Amino acid sequence: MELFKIKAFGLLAEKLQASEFDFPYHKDTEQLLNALKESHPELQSSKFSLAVDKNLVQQNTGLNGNEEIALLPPFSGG
Amino acid sequence: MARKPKNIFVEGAISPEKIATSIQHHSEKTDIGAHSIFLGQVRADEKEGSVVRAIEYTAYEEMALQKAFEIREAVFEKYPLTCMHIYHSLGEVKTGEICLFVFTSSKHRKVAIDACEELVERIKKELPVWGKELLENGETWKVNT
Repeated sequence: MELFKIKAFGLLAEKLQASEFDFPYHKDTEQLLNALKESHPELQSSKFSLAVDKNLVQQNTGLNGNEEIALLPPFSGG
Repeated sequence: MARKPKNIFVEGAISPEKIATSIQHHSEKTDIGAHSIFLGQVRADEKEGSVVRAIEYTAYEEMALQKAFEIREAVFEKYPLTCMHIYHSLGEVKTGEICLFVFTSSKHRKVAIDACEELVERIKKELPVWGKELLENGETWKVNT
């Protein structure tokens, strides 16, 4: 897999001007996050969580390239 | 009996008729002695020198439904409930309209009340749902307190 399809929601989708975008493969969530923040500086000032296959990432997690990645700003439902 | 994930999302506001019908549906379940209902209503807060006229909700729907299912199973496990229903709006809900409907039923009141409260807290904290407050003049992203 060469590219991740990354989903973005809420305020982050607005800041990135996309609700889904392609991004090069990285082997774990820590490397992916660093690369994302480097290529999208607007993420550096944003509070958000990362979800891998619909689960919130609590610690560095290995990636094989087939995962569904999502950037989630703080929840504000209800 | 294995339960499956249910859709909790409703397009637009949750109507008082839907709530009334939902209560009516329980009249046949005569082992129920207590219902507890929480209704979230969109408030006309003052923000940035303007006033909220509506909230527009979006969600990471697949994840939210999976998470709602986990919460539902955990609460059913913890409390001896007869019934549980969760509805959350997507899209635009105007001030004064209902955006969240949580409904628990049990034999006795304490269980229904405690389970309902726990559900509401977990829904607000754990479901990937976002509200954008549409102001009379502009817009701002809602922050849960």
